[in-house]
Amino acid sequence: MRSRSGGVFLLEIGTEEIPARMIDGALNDVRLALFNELEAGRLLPDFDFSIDTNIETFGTPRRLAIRARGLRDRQPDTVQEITGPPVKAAFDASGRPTKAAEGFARAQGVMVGELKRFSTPKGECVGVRRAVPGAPAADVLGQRVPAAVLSISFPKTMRWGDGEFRFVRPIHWVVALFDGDIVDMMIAGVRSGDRTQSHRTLGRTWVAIRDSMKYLEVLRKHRVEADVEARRRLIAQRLGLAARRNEAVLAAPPGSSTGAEGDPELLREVTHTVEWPQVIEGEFDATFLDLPQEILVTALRHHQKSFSLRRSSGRLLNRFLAIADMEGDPKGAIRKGNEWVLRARLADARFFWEEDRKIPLREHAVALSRVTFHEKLGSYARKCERMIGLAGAVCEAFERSGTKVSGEAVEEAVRLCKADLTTQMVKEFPELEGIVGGLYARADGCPESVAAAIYAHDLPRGADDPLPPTPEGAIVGLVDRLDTQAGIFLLGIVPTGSRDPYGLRRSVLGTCRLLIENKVRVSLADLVERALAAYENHAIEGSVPVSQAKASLMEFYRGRLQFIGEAAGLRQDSVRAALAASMDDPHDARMRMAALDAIREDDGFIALALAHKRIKNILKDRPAGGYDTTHLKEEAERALDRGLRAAIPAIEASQARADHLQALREIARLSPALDLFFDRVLVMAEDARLRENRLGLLQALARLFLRVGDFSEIVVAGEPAATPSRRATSGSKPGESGG
Amino acid sequence: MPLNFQQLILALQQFWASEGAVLQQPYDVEAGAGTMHPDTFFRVLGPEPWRVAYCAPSRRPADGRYGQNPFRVYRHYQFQVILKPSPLDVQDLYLKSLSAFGIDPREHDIRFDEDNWESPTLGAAGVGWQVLMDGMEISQFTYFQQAGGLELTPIAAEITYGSERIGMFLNGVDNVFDLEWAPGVRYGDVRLQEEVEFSKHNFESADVALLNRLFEQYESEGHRLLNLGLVLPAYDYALRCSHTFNVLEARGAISVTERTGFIQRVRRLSVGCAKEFLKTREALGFPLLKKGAAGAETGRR
Repeated sequence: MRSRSGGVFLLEIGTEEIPARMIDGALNDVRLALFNELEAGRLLPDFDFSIDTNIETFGTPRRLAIRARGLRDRQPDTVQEITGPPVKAAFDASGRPTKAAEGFARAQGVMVGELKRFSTPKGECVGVRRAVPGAPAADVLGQRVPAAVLSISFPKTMRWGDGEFRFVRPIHWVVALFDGDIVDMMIAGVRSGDRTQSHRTLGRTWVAIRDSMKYLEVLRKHRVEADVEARRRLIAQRLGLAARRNEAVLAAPPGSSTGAEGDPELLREVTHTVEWPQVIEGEFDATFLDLPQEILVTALRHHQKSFSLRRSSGRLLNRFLAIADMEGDPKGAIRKGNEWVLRARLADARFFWEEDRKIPLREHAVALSRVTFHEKLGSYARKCERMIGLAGAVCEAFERSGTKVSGEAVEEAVRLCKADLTTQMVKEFPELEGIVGGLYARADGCPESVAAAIYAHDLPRGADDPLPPTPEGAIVGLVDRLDTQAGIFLLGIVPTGSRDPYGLRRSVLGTCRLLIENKVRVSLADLVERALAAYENHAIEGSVPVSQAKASLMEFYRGRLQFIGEAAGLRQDSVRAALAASMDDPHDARMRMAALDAIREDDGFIALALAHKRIKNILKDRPAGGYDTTHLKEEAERALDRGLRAAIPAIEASQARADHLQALREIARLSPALDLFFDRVLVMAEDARLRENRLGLLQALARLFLRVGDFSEIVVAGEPAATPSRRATSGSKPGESGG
Repeated sequence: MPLNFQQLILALQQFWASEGAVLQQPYDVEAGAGTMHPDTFFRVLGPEPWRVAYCAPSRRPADGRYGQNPFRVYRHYQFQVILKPSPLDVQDLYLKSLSAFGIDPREHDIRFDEDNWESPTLGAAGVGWQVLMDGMEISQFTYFQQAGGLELTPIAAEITYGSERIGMFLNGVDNVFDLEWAPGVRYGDVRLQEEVEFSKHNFESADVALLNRLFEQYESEGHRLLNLGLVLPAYDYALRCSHTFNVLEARGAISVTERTGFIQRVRRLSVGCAKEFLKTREALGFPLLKKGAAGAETGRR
């Protein structure tokens, strides 16, 4: 069975239904854990092995599987040196072996004559050298794999039966094969074998896996598509076919860009709920089409995980597509069932729509004083008051940046934007927060600018979401987020990679996108201070001092801005250099990042980066000081000064046009003069006055650089930089937690 | 002919009796869920094996709709099964039980969809699924992890069938009140007046001052009895507290901030009962462990 391409290990953990939301994470974890065990267990070949191509993962709700190819079939042999007594003690004066030497040789099972001599830190000793054969792969895997499986970190685990083991769901079987032979192991009390189980209701038999490379094919024969990506494509393809049959397209969830098609999030979710997908087409009463589309689409996707269909014109059809884990639906039972349930769901939605609108949104807002925003931060009514206070400064920033804003509309929208939290509709469909308020405001006859601002204020939710289409909506969204961020940071809660209960990562990313993409010039520090001060004015005390909350929130912003730059494909150090100079105005920082990343291709810039490092080293820990042109003695320093003074107006003019690239080019022009300066001039001159003056000149230069970036952050080729370790970790990468 | 409401319950009883469950009857103190029945709440604690099945009325004052909503009622019937320890084939048993009332799992789309359960008043939490059939939730399936604030070992599986839902589905009726209960008698004939009157009571007429007083008295009586070591009588008062709280909440008499306080108070009493119950069973030497009594089949194979 063994091929020249190395050994194949297949592992399948058969379980009861794993929650859809956990499967991707689990497969990722198990891939990393297995790679680490293969490396530690010395089963990786010396070359031609990559975690991405040699390790594949498969999964359905009832199985997590992993297959590694190209493995060693046994560990490489090693040589072990066993040291015995010192040579002095091993041989007597006449060179004959002593009792000690004989004893050691006997213990090691060799003749005294076979003893070797090793030099050790303790002097020369006798010893033996022994070849240690590597263990067969199956033994190594049997020992190491169970721990790797049990190390998968699930958001929630459970115990079952006697309560002895803990996993995401009870484990029923384990398939573990190396080159076709069973690898003996126990995982959560289950002994490994070569049999897997087919689909729960379609057939339901035990199936032996003989060839690990045929794993997917064998399961397919028994109506299980274990390849996640293939299953997703299959569903997408069948949905597309069904949509075309109806001369329609798949509707996008509320909050998507206009004209968007399909529901990738729902598609991903349903992919993880089935082993053998089938698209079921059904119909609902056309009278429900009176309800707003947002509500219909949500009612379908939220509870029923069903896809809505719309005409290309945007009009919704009274048809839906549900995904079943079945072969077919000959008696139409599945369709009828889904239609029946949907009728109840839509009747509920209509009930909420009608009940909620019995009073206007304004009156719903009154109840916000009884809705807790956060137990330590007061009610939503208080939150809205703080938001109104903050809105003035944000409106001004928009106006200053050239965007006309209706301050009245913003204030009215802020007052009403949380009112939908008290409605039955949002209690039923929390994901419609904002959207429902906007719909109700429109139905109440509020001005469209107000309704639109409420409707969209929760956007963007994810990295790819559109922004509110109106400046008023963006402003409501900004003050809402700033207030939440300030409050949570005041409580001393700083989100980490694994814990972000208030979704602050997404919230801060949202603030940055709103500012950057609306091209608003602000002082972030000023807004954050205002947001924090609003809590003080409400006599709400945090758990940490305001100054600490501010500092950690600003630092958190730095991380998100760094993420935004890297996600846009800019080099990490370009982004860092721009942020190191300043991050107070995210839009400005974003432009400087791009300029810095672009100019690195230009000649002369790298020299400037190196010069900046040199300047920083020289200036380290020195107080700021000025310089006097009349004290410049050497021609090279006078030339640098002339260049500097000539550059400043040009740089200012460029930056006034927000043309940071041109500003950088102006700075780069100083490069030859700077080189000459370092070449000819001794900065640390004996004469104190000359020395201070030269330091002052360099400080002026550094200040100039910092208008765009801290070039010393740029990693120049040949410099020592952090080397990526070979060991796989679950460290973050761009795209991490995208929303 | 599909089974009517009472035939459905009979079929479930028949099925689970044949699987070695003790057939219990509903408990006669108001409760919001079948889980609150002493034969679940107490029996899932400690090492003793237990299998029980019963139909339990579940009173949820806030769910009342004056008999006007076709899907929602103030009092519905849960059919509840406890299997402790949870056998490894518990999902198969469940699928088999569906056939008992005429559902062939091979003709339907049956899914186990993540749904974890938590009852703050009982200090209980579990992990499991809602079972969906053709998109409709027909059961809750829970592996109890904690109850009465205690970590459980062994683990019990709880299956709760939504009897009305399943009955409506089997009979293709769109309104629960049209569901046939017995030949010639509909669900509405049996229950409609009760829904109307209790909705009025829970939302409009319940005497808030009286209920607040009763809550206090039930609570202190519960603790007094608990101190006397009378666990089961004390637990009855915990149930009464819980139901009184539910009515007060439906009546709109409890603010968000007060709510947590009420829940904590009921929880204190029920957790106290759980701890005390476990002690009394221990003092008895956990009799069901040795006995292999009815329902004590461990289901291990």
